[in-house]
Amino acid sequence: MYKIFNICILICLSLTNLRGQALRYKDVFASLKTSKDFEVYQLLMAFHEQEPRHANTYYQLGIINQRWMRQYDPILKSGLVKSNIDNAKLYLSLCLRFLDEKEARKNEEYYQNVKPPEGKKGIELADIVKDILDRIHDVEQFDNHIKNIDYNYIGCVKSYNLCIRTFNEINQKNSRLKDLYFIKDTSLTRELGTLKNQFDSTIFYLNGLKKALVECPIENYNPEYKLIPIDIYRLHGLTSVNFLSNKISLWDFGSWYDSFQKTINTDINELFNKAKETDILHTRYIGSLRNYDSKEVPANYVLNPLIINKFEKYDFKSPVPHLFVFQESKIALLEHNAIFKQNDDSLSRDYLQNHPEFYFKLIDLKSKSDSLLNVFHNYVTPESIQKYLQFFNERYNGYTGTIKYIGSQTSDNVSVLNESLNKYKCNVLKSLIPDTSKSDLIPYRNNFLKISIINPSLVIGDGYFTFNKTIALNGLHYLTGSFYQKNSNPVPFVAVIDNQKSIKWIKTYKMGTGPQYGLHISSITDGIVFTITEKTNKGIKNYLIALDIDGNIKSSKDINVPGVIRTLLYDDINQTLLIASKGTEFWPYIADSDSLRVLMTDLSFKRKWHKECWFDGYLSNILKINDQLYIYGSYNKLKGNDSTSYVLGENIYNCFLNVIDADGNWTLTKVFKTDSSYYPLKTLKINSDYVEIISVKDIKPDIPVITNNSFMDSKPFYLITTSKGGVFFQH
Amino acid sequence: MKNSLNLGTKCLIITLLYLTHFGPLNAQLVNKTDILPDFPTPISYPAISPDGKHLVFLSDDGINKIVFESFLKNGQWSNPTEITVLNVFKNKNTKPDIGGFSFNHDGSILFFHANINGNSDIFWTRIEKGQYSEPKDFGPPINSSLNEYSPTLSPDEKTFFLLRDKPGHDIKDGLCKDLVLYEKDNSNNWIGPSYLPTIFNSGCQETPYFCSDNSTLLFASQRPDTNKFGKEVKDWGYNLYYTKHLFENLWLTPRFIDDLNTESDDLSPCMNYTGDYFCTNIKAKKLKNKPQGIFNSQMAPGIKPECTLLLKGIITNLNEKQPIDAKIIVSNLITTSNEGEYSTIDSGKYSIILTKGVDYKIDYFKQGYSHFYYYVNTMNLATQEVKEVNVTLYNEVNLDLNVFDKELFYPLYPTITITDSATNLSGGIVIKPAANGHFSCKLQIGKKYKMHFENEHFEPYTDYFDLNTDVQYSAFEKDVEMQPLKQQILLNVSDETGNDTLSVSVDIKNLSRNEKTSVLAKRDKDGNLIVELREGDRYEIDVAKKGYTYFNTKVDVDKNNKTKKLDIKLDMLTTKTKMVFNNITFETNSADLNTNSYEELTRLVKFMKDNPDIYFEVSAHTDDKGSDAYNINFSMKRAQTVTNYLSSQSIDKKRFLSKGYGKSMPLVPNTSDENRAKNRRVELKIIENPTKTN
Repeated sequence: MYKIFNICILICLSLTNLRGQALRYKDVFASLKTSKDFEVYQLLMAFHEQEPRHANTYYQLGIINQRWMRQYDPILKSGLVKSNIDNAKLYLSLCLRFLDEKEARKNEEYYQNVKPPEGKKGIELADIVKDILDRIHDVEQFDNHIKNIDYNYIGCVKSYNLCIRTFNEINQKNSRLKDLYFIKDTSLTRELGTLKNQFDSTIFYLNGLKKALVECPIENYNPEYKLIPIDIYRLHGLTSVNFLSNKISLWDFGSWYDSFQKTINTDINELFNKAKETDILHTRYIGSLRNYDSKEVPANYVLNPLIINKFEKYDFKSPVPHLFVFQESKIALLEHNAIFKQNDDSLSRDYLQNHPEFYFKLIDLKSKSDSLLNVFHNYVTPESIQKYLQFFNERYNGYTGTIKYIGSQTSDNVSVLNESLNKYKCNVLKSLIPDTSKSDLIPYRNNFLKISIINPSLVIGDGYFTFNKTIALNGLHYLTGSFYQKNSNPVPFVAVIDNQKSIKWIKTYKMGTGPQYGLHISSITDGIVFTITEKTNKGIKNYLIALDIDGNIKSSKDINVPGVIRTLLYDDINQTLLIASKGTEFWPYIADSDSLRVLMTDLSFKRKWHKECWFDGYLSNILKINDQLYIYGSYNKLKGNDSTSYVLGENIYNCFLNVIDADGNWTLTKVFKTDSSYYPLKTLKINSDYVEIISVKDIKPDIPVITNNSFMDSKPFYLITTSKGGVFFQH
Repeated sequence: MKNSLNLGTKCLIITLLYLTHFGPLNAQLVNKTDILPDFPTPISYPAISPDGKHLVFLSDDGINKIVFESFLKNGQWSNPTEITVLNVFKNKNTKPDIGGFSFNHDGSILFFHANINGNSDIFWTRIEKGQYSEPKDFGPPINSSLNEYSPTLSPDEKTFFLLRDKPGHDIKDGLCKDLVLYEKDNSNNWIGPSYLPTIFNSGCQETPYFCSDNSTLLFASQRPDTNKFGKEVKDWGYNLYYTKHLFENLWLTPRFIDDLNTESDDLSPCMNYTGDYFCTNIKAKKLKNKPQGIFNSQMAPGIKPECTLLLKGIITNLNEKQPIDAKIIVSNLITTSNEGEYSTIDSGKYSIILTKGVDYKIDYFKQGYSHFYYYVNTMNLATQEVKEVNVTLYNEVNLDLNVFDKELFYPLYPTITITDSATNLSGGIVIKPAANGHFSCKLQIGKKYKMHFENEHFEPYTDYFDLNTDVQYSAFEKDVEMQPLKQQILLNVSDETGNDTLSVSVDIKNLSRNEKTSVLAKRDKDGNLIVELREGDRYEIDVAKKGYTYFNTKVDVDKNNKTKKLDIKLDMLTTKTKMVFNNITFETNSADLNTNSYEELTRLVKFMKDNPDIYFEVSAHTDDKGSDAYNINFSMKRAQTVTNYLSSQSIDKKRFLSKGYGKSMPLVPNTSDENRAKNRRVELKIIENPTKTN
């Protein structure tokens, strides 16, 4: 290009004739001493147009170009320097071309720069030629240096500019640095590779430039560089640098790249490896717990929160930690489920005492698991899994597979709970069905004592039928019920049996003439208290009887409360008795509109307080929670503690709660409404904050129903309420 | 001249120069149209704005000199109107004289000469929204005691051409001027004058015009010359010449423009930035009947300036959407040299002419605002182009801070103080907390902020966020990892014999984080186990050894605690070994367990399972309140509750008994509430296998 340019000059100038006046070379040469280079150069060119074969014109032009080539900054004015180099070489060569002996001899004075050899006064052709060749050599040598500077300078500027551009493109496309760690596409890899390579090239060229400048210094140009760390993504590494400065501050793309790769190779790869390991572990664990059949209590699994936190450090929208948190909750659910699978078939007293807490926890764990699964679901989108595509492809068959997994886990959680809870509800129902087998009959004086509890309404035939029982402090079982004989009214009794079901004694207690029933019994500090209910045409009379441990009456009292006694609660700590009565039927009459009477007495049967609550329905249970009485019952109509009336539709029954404090003050009424009827069968305290109510829906649990085989097919309704009367769970 | 043409361009110029002189493609004057044919008086010094839509000229009938302007609308120049500001300015002087108009590269400034008190100087006026500012003297060194005329500024605003009276010329022979130039140094000072070479300044010069390519200079000159037909033109008065700048002070020898020059005075070449609209001023002083005025003509490409790119647009503020003034720096991407610095004109508007053959970087700066840049390559520019780039700059950015625990990466919610490090004032910076330790705030560009983080139980952390730099993005994210403070806990584990080198298993659970810690216990020189635990967290420490009682405690690692030492005694399990459980509690006046008792009971179940050969008595005790009978019964009930639970957890019922001791076996005298609380307890006592005993 430069040669073409020079040839252009040559051709143009040599073929162009000045339209002005002709120049004399003598004048032109004289201007060398008086005028500035540019003036002279312009004149020489003008003369050259006149006499293109004039050797000295080329000599002088060459010398000026040779001088000029060093006058300009070879970086800023590289084109100019190059053209001067080329022109110098061209003109000096042309001078050689037109130089001859005659010229050397005739115009010796025009070769003012040629020094005669030592000892000689004048110069000869050979001296001029040597001078010209020396000059050409000098120009060529300089040219090489300049090319070297140019090569390195352009190299480092272009490389660094490409770094800046590439880094800016990365910054533009990815607003968060952390997102970059997870991107696996080839375009980013290529960009990062470019960044690294171009930065290395920048340093390579810059070092090359420094070497080149040692060989051919540029005045006031001695570049030194320092590297500035890229600490803040999108703030640093985006501005270009002035390579003409002596102090060049370069963004350290090399360290940034190395640190970036290090993070990927250590933290990110470790995260992915951990993710896979954790998922495999969880999946295996969940599988084994789902089919757990060991008697051993499974070890309690805790997910190391570090893996979660690390994921969230890099990607707080990552679905992976949410998957693991869900899986941890699922494991906890299955672990808990596995614990009580082992003793789930018992219908012992312990069962009903301890299982509410277990189921409560199971429900809580299932609820947590569902909720965490839902959170995971919210985090799973086709976009969000892109960063973890390999993981989700390998482990869950991609996005669609993951969604299927979520669906299957939702169903599985329901199954886990249903399997366990249905079994529990079934066991509770089973406990209500009267035991008609004869295996619990203990022979006694030509008769028998039936030791399993039965409702008086279900008694058929003669014998001692147990309506309630308790274990006294001496470890013996005290039973109460009624002795049935043909043509006689039932007579209440108390029986004592030991753990081997051997009868110690049976005593009957008759307080009147009508049919009498020993309905409730409780062990107290120094004996037994039981109730006798006499049921005649005139009404119902209730008695409290205190016995010593041998069955001798210590005291008795007509407590002057109508209605069948439904509850006798002994508070051995406060030495009180709580009695509740309602209605006239032994089997809780569903539509009983009688008031519920709640009576607190001390152990001498002295009344402490008495409270009446009205509802159309039956009493389910009274629980003592935190020194307060929680009364649960079924209602169609109910009058609350603040005289509010609660009325349901015809034949609709729901459950309610009345709370009475230790002093007999009625403090709260709450109803648990549903659209259809349900009838509470068992009300159990889970802990000081929750109560579970097991009911049947749609069918009235009257005697014909519970004695029917189809009772077990009914669908129990499971409700957990809080001690403040809220609904926590229903199933 | 710092800017020189690139070599390829020069080559082309030279080639074309040759061709225009000798070839058949000499520039042709295709048409010559008087653009103001109806203007009644002679016209001088026409100047056309770079956008080609604004014309300024002087009307001079020999008596009155009046400055007019006209605007190109729908291809027609409007009726000229007087520029009052300039005419008033001119008339303030005793010898009103004005002329030599030229625009700067974006048409926002009009330069001219005016004779003030007998001395002609250079002045300028800013044109904003059609209004002219009060003219200002260019000042020294441009203006001197000599006369200055006809200024023209290079598009890069680094070279200023003007005319000065020719040295040695006798004024009696009429005005004769030379071209001089001033150049800006690195400190933006005008350096000069430099006279153009003699061969350049031969004869008398008039009305220079420096074209948008930063290379082509047109001017009028009266000198001995011949046209292309060899005819002398000495009687033609002023003729138009052109030259191209090569480098430094080296120019192409000025060339007579054959096809433009007439036998009248040809003066004031002017054009729009593309050169597509070209005019000259023809003054027919000798040929009275010939037309005179401003003539539009077309120039052949060889004489036309090189292709350029007009970069223009408006700079606005992102928030207020209002125009803002900013600095624009044009640099050469390859040499990284500064090619020009420009300012916006007329409320955020800018226009820059970029010459062909350079790889440019265009930077937009404004103090306190974001920095914007892009690249423009004019290497392959084939035509005159216009590129409109509207730039939006913003003065605040959003910073998201993610604050983590450095060790466990838990999100933290520290108190964050952000202040301007220069003033130490917060300036109303609002830090909005979001979930998971994320915070966000808006910060002003142009300031360096100090960010201070205080989180209880963590070392305070200070960092800086420097926005007093080039900011190219409006949102940033920064992670802050805070170092948790630690406290040492010493565990002195021994058995009843005082052996303190028991090999025990130590399980430490961080209750605050539900995390089994991986803290390794080391032994100090006294044999104590040492663990370093995080300040502010609650830990559960389990120390166990098979065949021994177990130890469990909860430790709150408080701030500023001295090293806490726990003396832990593990008893070998023998009959009558007792373990007291103060963590098994009941509802008031009840044998019902409190919910929080299950934790200790779970540990007890594990202990039972780990030591399957032991048999034990679970006993409950009361304080001294209440009757003996009541307390015995009460404690019995409570003991039974515990054994019921153990039974429900698959512990064989044969392995335990329950017993209520009432108030008979106090641990400490019942002299205070605190002591009474200690006495209300559940105990486990190892007993012989009851079956064996029986």
